[in-house]
Amino acid sequence: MAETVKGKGVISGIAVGKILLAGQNLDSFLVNYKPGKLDAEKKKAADALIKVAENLQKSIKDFTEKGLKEQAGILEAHRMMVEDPAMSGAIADELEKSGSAPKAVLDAYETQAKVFEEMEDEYFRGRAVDMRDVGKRIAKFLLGIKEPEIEGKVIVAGTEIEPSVIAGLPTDKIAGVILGAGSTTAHAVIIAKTRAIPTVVGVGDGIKKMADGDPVILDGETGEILIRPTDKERKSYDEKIKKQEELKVYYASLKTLPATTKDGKEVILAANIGSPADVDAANNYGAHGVGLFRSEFVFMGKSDVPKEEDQFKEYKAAVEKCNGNLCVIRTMDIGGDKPLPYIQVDKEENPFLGYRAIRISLQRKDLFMPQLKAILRAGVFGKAAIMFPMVINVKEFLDAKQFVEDAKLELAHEGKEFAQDVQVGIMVETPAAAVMAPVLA
Amino acid sequence: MTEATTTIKNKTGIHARPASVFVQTAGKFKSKVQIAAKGKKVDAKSILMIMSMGLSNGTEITISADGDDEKEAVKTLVDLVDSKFGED
Repeated sequence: MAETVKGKGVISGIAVGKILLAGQNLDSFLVNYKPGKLDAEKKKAADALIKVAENLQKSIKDFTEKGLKEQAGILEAHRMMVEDPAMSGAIADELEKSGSAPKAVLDAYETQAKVFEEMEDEYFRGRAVDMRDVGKRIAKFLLGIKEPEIEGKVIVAGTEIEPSVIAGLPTDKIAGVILGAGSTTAHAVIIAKTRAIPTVVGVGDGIKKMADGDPVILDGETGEILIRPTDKERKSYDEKIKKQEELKVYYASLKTLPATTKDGKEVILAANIGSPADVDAANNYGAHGVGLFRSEFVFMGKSDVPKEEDQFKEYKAAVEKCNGNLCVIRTMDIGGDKPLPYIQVDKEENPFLGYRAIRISLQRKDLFMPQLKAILRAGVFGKAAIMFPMVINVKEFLDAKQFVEDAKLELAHEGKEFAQDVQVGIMVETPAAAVMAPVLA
Repeated sequence: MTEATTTIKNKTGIHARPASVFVQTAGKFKSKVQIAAKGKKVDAKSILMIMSMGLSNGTEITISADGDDEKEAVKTLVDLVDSKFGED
């Protein structure tokens, strides 16, 4: 009998693969670790810091060469956390107490993580995850634990999964995602959704029943997870998997058909994307362009406002991949529920109607202008359109349109090439906009 | 020992990027460099120590240095803070 764990299925589909734990438990390794004399442990810890920093440097170089700037940036921050003079001191202090190098490293980074966790600033609180990650990396090196290399498809599992873990693995290698936490809006889940990876969240302590390399069957619809299934149990899923494959083939056969209603009216079926790479998947399914490019993802995971040039590259890539079809880019929709280090938003009763999205953009010229200019420039490489989020009245729309005109003037003044004919519109998503739709139109 | 007092002027305070610029700059000097604020004093060559102080816009800080190049160190770092780390 397989061990069964149940969570909430959020992205449907059956996945079969081997577990890859995103947050590994080192307790059993620590118990079996035999520390040497204090001086020897001190030297071991110091050497490990140097070695781990070197390894990180190698990975940073690899990522940079492959153009994976985001991953390289995260590891660069981790490298600084390894080399920080305060940490070598803190590790030495912990060593006096426990006498074990790996334990001292974990304790020292845990203490620092707690300091971050208690800070008011959301951004700093988020760095606690990185501190623990770094501590574990060094402790694993000391304990001689190699990163698991798993053959074939993996199911990534963890209490919390950093988005970088999923983003860093090739899409065709990830069969499924299991999250201990209950959040359906975690970044990891959002990324899984755009890639249609079967996902189950909220399994809680169920994660502890899984080990690296365990074969698993996951049902993203019912939320059921079978750990180490028997042959018989595996067979019972064969039928479901077969149906899923048949459905896939059937859907694939539909992709070239025109999107026409029964009475013969043709509609445009466009995709909903978070990054230029998603357009490739959408094109595979026969999408006609992009109806919504959520530009928030261009703004997230950065410590500063993304530069016009960097945004331009992202938008240009998406517009080009649309092959002449329309690519609608929604300007930044950020607010109280997902703050950024460079946007300070006070907590509000209803963040959706408060200081959010277009209302931040209209006040923060330093955020809005580079984005508008980047979109207008990307328009040269295909067909781009601008959509404003969370608009509640005509004035906001008119103000936003004025910004677009200003952006064009600035671009002309700077002598940069841009598209004059970029369409502008709003997303009708607030009750106010729905009621006022005739006026806004 | 040389020391000087100034105020954080950039809007977002000393978050990750300014902190790393500050630490890299402090690291160029041989002197022992410290930063004091909110009743705490920490190693200015440690990004973690600086980040965990939570230095936001308007916080008063005192930068001190002790060593051969202490005068230059304090001046360079105060100038860096006053330049808002090239932000805003």
